[in-house]
Amino acid sequence: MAEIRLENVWKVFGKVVAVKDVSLTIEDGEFLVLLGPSGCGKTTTLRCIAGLERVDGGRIFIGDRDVTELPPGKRGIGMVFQSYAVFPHMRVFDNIAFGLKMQRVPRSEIKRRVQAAAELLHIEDLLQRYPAQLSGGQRQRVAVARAIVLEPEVLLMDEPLSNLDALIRLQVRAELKRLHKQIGSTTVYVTHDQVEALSLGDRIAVMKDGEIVQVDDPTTVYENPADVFVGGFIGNPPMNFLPGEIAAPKKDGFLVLRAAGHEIPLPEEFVPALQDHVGKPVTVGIRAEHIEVVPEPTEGALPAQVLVVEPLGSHLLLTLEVGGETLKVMVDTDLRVEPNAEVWLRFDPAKIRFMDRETGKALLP
Amino acid sequence: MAPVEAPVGTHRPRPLRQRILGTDTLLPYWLLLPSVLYLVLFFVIPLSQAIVVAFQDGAGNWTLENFPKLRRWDFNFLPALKWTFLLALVIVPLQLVTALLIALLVNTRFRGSQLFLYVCAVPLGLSDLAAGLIWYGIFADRGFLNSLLYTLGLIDAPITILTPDERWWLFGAVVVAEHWRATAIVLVVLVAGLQMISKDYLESAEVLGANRWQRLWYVVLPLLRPSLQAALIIRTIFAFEIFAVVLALAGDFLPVLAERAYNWYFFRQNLRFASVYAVIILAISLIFTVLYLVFLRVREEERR
Repeated sequence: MAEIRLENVWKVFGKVVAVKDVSLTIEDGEFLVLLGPSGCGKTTTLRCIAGLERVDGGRIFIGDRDVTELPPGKRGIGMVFQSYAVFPHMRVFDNIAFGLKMQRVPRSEIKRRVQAAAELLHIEDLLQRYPAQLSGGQRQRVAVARAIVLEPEVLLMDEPLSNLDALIRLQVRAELKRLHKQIGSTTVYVTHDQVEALSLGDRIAVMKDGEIVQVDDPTTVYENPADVFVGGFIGNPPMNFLPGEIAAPKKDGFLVLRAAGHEIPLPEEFVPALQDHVGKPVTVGIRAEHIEVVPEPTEGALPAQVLVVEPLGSHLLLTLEVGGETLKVMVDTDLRVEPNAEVWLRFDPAKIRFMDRETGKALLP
Repeated sequence: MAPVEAPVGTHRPRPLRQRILGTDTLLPYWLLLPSVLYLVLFFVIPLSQAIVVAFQDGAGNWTLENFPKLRRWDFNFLPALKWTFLLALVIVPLQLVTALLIALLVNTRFRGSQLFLYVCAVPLGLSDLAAGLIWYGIFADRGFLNSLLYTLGLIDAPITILTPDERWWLFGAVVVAEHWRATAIVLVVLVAGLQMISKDYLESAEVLGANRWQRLWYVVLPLLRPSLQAALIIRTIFAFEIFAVVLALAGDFLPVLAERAYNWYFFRQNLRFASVYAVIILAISLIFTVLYLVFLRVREEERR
């Protein structure tokens, strides 16, 4: 019904290329998150889809329609702004009804649809209030209700949670997910918060310097980052990176990873992808929860020194030093470690990721 | 957290600056003092004196007699009232529309919009008498307008625009001159107001399908209300005080209230009638200010 298709979209501001040859297809009914650091072009991409920016190249399709030259009001979209942009001089009812009024929908139908949208967001008791009398979370709901009351094929959200305090953010996040299941509009959601992206997205498109680096479902983006940037941007703590080298010490076809002066044997399934890289430098990526801390020297374990111990409630976050590199490791709270203690680290070999040392790109199995 | 205890026995004399300025809560009032003094000295005192004079007779008794008396003695009183109101009625809305159009144009931030704004604001720097004289130079028999029309071959002989026989021509000339002179103040207030309206509101309305006019009508103008109110109050008050431009272009052939006050004070040395005029101007200004405050008020809950 309404997939969104971006074909080689460019947007340039003066000398800055904000969106660089982006091509992306968002499936009908999908919840796609555009994720990236500030200035990566994610908001500009969203604004191009909305029609608030004219693209400097490429085409944008919504459903079967080429909307590249259409004004925002004719694209069949709803949009929620970071600032909510709820009109301060109108009551909540008139805010939600605004789009319907512009379409000259009959009065009785406006009333019915505003009521329905308000109920969907649990703000039906606030319809006669002015925005100044609402909390941030309530204003945010008004903004969402105002966008969905038009039953848009496409819902665009620009960092809708970033102005809320942490507790409400969690609550609204879950509710946005429920809402999407309920109304099923194709949704594009911009955020710089990787936790939001992981929790909301059917797929995540990670952007950097105006380009899409990776588009995948949250698990894949988390477990198999396309490059060092994605691994370092997603996850809290971010993925650990170590310089290493692939070696084939024996003739039996097994490979080992040489890092920090030690060797870690690698599982067989890595062989096809890594064969060509034997003897070459690589960057080793491993998540904090895929490292095991053992108290004494073990086969295939790297010696490390504990620098910092941070109890996070459910886990302990350790900062360790291995061969001059700093690693973050997540361990159970029952492990007793003190700063300066010497420990040994065992990597889960199946969870190790390899990147080209030069380009940072993943060498995928 | 360690409990914070009030220091005991550490009473030191307060520094001199603090003793003079008092606490921080008093400081704003000290800062206001000079302007308050100025206003009291040059506005409140003369104004109260004028009010006292207007409501007393020669023997110092309180009376309302001066008002009907003025009407009987000054056959230009009703015409002055009429022309002042007509001028305000025509000039203020005209200025508001012009200023709004220019402000909206400037707010599109086209290349050179800042320069354009400065050029439009130039008349702000002129005294009203100077502005009146400039337009006299344009409208006079041998003025710029006639020269231009003659050079273009549109007329054979100069048209006399500024003549006592054609009151409405005089009126039109004053409207044009005043429009040129005093629109800039409205413009500046509206440009400032427009710049305070977040772009998000407009884009939001655009996504919701509002066209240019609907955005102006439903979003921009309501959000601009505080600025419109301020601009209208300023302009209307000044419009009822209109004086030098009229004097330069029409002399006393187009009587207005302020010109009457001036006339009675300087030429007939009649302080009482001059004061009565001053009180009338004050009353009209007050009434309009209150009307604007009531009808254009932004309710507390509508504030951003």
